[in-house]
Amino acid sequence: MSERKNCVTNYLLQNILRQLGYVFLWVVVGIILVPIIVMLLSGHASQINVVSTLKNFELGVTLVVILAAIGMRNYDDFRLLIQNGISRKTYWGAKTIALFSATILAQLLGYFYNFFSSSVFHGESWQESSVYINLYGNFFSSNILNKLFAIVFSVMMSCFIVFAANLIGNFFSLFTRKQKYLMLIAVITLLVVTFMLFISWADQNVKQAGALFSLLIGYEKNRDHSGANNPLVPFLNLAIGNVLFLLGNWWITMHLQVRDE
Amino acid sequence: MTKLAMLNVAIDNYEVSRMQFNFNSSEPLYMQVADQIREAIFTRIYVAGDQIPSTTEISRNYHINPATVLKGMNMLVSQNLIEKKRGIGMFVVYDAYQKIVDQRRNEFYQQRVIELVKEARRLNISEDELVKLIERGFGQ
Amino acid sequence: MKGIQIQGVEKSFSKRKILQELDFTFEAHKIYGLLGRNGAGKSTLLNIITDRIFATSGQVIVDGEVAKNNDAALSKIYLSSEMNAYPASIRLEKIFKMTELFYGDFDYTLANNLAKQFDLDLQQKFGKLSTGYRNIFKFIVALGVPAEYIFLDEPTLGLDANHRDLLYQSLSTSYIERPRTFVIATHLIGEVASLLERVVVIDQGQVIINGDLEDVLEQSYLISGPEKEVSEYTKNLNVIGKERLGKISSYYVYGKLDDECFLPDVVTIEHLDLQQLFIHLTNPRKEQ
Repeated sequence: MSERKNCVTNYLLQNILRQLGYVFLWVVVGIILVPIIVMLLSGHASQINVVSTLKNFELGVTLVVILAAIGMRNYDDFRLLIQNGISRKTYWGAKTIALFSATILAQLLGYFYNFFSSSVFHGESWQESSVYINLYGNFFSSNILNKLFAIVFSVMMSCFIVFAANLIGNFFSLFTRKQKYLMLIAVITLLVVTFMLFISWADQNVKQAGALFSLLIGYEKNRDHSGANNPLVPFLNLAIGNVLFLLGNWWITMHLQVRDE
Repeated sequence: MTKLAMLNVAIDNYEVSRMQFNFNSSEPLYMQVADQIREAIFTRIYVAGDQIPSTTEISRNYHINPATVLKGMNMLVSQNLIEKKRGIGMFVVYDAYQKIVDQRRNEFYQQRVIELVKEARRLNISEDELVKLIERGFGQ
Repeated sequence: MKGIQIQGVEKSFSKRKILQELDFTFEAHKIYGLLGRNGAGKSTLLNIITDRIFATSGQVIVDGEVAKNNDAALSKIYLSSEMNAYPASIRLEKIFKMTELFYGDFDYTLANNLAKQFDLDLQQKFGKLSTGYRNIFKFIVALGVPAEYIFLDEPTLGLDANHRDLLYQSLSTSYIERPRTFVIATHLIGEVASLLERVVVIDQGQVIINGDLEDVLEQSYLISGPEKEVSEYTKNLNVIGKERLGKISSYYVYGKLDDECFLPDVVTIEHLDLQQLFIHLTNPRKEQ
């Protein structure tokens, strides 16, 4: 990695982490402190259950959702970097690495928190609430391998979400503010219509829909269904999705221009 | 910096600030630069051996492009009025004043006297009358 | 090969041609004036050079390398323009740091010094600055950047006369201390003319003049006298404008005079200054 790209990556990563921390503080205020204050004010202090709130708090998921939101904001970074003589190519590489690093960090923090909350508050351990473990957790005979894959899966899933958000943000930064609003409406309408069509199709073709769903998640009939489905299919799906998102981001980044605003 | 050097800088800055450029004049700017320095030598602000303000100083004070100032300076160098001492600056040549006086006298005849005679002829002023007028001018 | 070469650069916005096949070079270590009326295409050209927008066709070469998508080439360029790239909440001194991070170096001594001279508090946030001070700040950053090619798009917008004077002085001082290419796009021609070594005039998307300022002015003339004699004398010349006051006609001419042609007594010839030349060259009524 060139020195310049290194600098840009560091700058972007620092920025992402700072924004992450900032937004996270507000989230904490919003979902932990505000309910407590409301209960105190309304005289229901006895109903406060801080432990249960902390016990059920999904740190990893929360951080990834915030990261996705941060990842949607692209144009400002692009404008700042092009002002400072940084090419689109370098910007794309640095942004990808920065988002990836931040996602891994968010997931690690999530696991640490879970380890902490499950041992201190005796909450659920992450394995118990992990969709992956429930569906695929017994695929390998080695328990360590299963857990490792679960972690890799969650990282890939998080990247999938963050890169998808990045792609959406990038796509919208090709357009002016007015165009953006119009397109947002169009895209939402389109999504709703597609979803409705899919539902009505699935309703009439229950068998095919079930087969498609099974295929996507790697569900196998003949297996004993206590979490021994084949995880390769969903892994493949995520990998393909991530690659497509990155390529999409690359294409859009190479077409970004500074707008008159 | 010695006291003398400081004094020199002070004088230089004073002289630089006395120059006048007319940026809207149709005379090229580099010629104006040369004219101003020539005038300063003629009026004895700079005498033989004096250092004149540097390209940088003039350029900075009047925001004139350094290349333009240099062109004016080089014109004076090629006319042997100033000389470059490497690493120090530009200095007035020992006979610069005399050269300028000679040049101006020559110009005086070429431009003023010939024009004067031309105009006198148009006004039907005879040679004798013109000489008398000049004597009157000197008498004032 | 040093310099920035504009090779066949064209730009259209929805079928309207903004720039038409520009082909010229900004030579290294010279101060350029990039002159043109509003909407002539100056800013569009500068945005293409710095890869902020794409040309419809053609390319920009910086010191022999294609600029598009090239960090090495782009980091030799700095454009200070209307665009406010910096976050509004960031402190000015942080922007110096950021610039150093991306460009690899920054002249803090010069920048702090200029801030003091312009009376600019570096603890302020970028978003709080007035238009004038925003431009002053961007100008200071432009001088502090280690880039070889500095483009200033209307640097004096919103500055009062004292600040404009200080800006020109800082520019020439900085240029003397570290010669590099400056391209100043402006329409305050009278003020900036003495600073320039070369001048590029853009009109309706085309470069109509590109040369040493002195050479350009040397072939700019105002020829006046009685209409009959003046029009006779200028009939083979490139007349770019005419004015008439009573019986005296004034013809503005750009180009070589005809040495063979006899100059009548009653006709006088003067040179133009840059502003006069510019006005008549870019006046759309010149055809009449």
